[in-house]
Amino acid sequence: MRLLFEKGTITIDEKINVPYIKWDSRVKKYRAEALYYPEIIENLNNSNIYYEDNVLDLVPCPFLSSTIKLRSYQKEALNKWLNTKRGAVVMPTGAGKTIFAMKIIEKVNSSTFIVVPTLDLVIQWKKELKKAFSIEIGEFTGHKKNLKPIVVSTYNSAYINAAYLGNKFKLLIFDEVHHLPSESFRHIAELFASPYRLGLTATFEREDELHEELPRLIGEKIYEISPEPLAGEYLANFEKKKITVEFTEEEQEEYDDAQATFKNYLISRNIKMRGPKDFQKIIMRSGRDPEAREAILARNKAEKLAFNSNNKITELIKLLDKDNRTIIFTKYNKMVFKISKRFLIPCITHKTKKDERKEILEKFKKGIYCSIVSSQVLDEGINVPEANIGIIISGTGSSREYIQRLGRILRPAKNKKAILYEIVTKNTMEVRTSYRRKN
Amino acid sequence: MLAKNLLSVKFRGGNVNPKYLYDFDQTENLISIFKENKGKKLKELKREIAKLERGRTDYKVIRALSELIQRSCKFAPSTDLDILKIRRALFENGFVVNEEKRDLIIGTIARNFGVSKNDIENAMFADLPKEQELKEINVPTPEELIRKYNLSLIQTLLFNATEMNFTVGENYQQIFRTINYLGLMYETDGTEIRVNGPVSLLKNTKKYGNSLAKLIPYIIQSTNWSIEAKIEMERGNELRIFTFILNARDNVLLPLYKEEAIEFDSEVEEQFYKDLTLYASDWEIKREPAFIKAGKYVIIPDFGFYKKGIELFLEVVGFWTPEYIQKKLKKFNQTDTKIIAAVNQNLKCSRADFPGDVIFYKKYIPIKPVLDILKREEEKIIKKEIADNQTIKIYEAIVDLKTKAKELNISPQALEQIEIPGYFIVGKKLVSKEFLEHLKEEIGEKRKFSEIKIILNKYKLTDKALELIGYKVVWKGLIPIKIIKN
Repeated sequence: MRLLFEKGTITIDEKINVPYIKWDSRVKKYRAEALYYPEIIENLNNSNIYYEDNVLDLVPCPFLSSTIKLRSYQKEALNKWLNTKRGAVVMPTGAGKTIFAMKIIEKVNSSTFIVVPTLDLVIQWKKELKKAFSIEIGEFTGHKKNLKPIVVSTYNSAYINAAYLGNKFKLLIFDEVHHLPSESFRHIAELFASPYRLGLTATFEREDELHEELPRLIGEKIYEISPEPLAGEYLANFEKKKITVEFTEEEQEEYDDAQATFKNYLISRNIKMRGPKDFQKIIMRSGRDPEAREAILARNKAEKLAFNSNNKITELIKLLDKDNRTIIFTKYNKMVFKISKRFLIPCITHKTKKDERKEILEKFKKGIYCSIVSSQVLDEGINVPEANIGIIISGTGSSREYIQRLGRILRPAKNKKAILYEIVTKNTMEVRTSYRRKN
Repeated sequence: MLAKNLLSVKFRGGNVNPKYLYDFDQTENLISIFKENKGKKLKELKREIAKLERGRTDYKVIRALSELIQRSCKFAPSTDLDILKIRRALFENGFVVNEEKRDLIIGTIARNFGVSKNDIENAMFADLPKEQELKEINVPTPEELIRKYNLSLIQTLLFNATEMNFTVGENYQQIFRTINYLGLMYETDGTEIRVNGPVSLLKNTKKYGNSLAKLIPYIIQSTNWSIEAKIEMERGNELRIFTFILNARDNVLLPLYKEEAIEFDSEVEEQFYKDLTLYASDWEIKREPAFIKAGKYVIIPDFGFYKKGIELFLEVVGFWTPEYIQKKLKKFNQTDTKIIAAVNQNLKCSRADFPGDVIFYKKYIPIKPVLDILKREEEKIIKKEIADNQTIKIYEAIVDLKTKAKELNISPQALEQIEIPGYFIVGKKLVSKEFLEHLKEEIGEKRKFSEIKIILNKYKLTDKALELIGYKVVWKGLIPIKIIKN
């Protein structure tokens, strides 16, 4: 009997009684998802069946050694992981997830595939890995594709190439693993046969509950630590502050108008808003019902008014200080450009080209720029240890976003005291949004 | 392909169908908006388009069409200034709260660049997509646009497909090649081809939807195509499976593909094709005409020969690697269809490896053996037709051989050789005894060949008819002059 890897699946040429396999009449073989490779092997071993295992075709890996020393909480997480060699580890940003992952690579000492959300993170990881192991690090992205014992890839590229890459690595690491359960990205975990898996994140839970898929894809959540116990020693001391502002008169009028349009629609159609699903229903209706569309447009307008209120700008002026290193977060790009233009603050959005983004971040780190304004692109991944003030002008209300934005200013530095401000408009849904994320 | 949120579909029972466009009005309107706004910024263009959308429930259509037009347009910043340099200069001062100080900074930069303050303000984010100006439009015709749009709808719908069944009339080689290239798998019962991916067997998955969508252009380039796909979509907060059906006869406006010149895998095949069209001109010769089930594989023969219901295939085996040959041989032995194998002499194959006819070739495939096989197959059919049609009844006095053969559904050659009591073959005609009597009467006392010829021409008969009624033609030199009793 022979087990083979074929386009993200495992084929078996003889009938055996193990779970997860199914007869494939197209090729006259049995077939299973590559994800279940360890279970199948375990089953075969337990039933003393002789088989030839040709599933893994690992990229040859030299002996890996590093001088990495783990902190106590990282050691604890490592020992937990080594029990099963699978699972998710939840640590706040700045707590040393990359270092921790590299120690795991060293322990496994075999070919490793690392999946990260952005190209910036690919570069960042490659740099760290090269420094730690002094070997050339591979990359699998839209720009470059080379197979090396350790390869860093984006979720997008890994998804596209999973059926080809799936049997070449023993260890599979997902950075910011909360991305993995999305409908398309989960295929990466399913099409890879890698028996050892590690997920890293600061924000395990997803609003859509899809994190419940993670145990199947990479293993259980095996370790979690929040920022508070680490603050002061491993992370910067930090404080969260909330500032409430009022609409200008004009804004208030416009806001009330828009809200009324939306509410009247709800009343006229007898719809009760209990959650995002109800809002989805109205969006669905908008294809048939012009009034539904008007209602949605009104609602969006009200939201934008609340998020972009002019008094927030006034408040922002008070908070800006050249002695600090400040990151300003907004939900909408429009607000980013408005702030950038008005205060001549460098901005980064998803439209900012790679080179310019790099330049801005470099200058921010060196202190040439003392502030940056950004929409959601800076939420994740990019290391700016020097930042000590975060100002949230507008947010989506997800606790993930809040934790990530907090994470941007948490990286420890000498005598650093970090503050995360949140400016919300009084008497609007934004207050509810802000309340939502605290829970 | 479009973003999923621009997909317009309608559901009916268990079916889902894109809302195809048929009329040009809307598109004409939209195209003229683009033309009118040449030189304007994208955001201004979008504002104009939004006016069209207002109050309409089919705003998605407008947005999707604009998206398609926009892709064939060129946008560029409104300024020649180095925008990056300007931003760098602007940001250098840290933030500026005081407005007067801001004005001062702008002024300094404007002087350094030798432009006005206003120019600097305008250039600051002039490279943002929505700030760029529409410089060039490669306007499609309204019809082209609609065809593109309808295809995009189908492809976007197929992102949600879990599997697809299709049939096509040609283009097999390219389609199967593409299926493999896209990492898909197929199964077939000989007519219908079912495509999905390796994992599809284990669970319903939309993973291959994207690849299935990419296959669509190859299918619709073919003739007589039909598509049936399983589509997974949410409806009423519930994930359900819908069926999507479309075929060539539905006359949905889809992109027209230019007929491409026949492409040959090798020079050998090209030469062979040229020769054959000359020497076997009464056969219809098609390239990659069909696919033949061979166990779990399919063979797409290089050539198909067609004549009177005879269907013969020829596959050129010119490749070198042993694995390839092994696979080919396995395929050949798993099908009942007759395939002539044209095998390169240098390959380690023997006649016995193949179940059917084998022709070995050195440099070019010899024509003679192929023609012999074609002839042999044709004769076989004729013999069978003769055997099957021993009691033919004809009621006409005189009838065209070809017409009658067609009517009887046999080949003229077979009909020619079947004995029909009371009937004779004269040239291309079948004539009855009674008719010959009538002909004799019509000739009466006429003897001049010129007069006789008029009668024969009337019935499109040859001289042979005269023999049958007891006359023969008298020649003077090379010219027939009269007839006499035999």
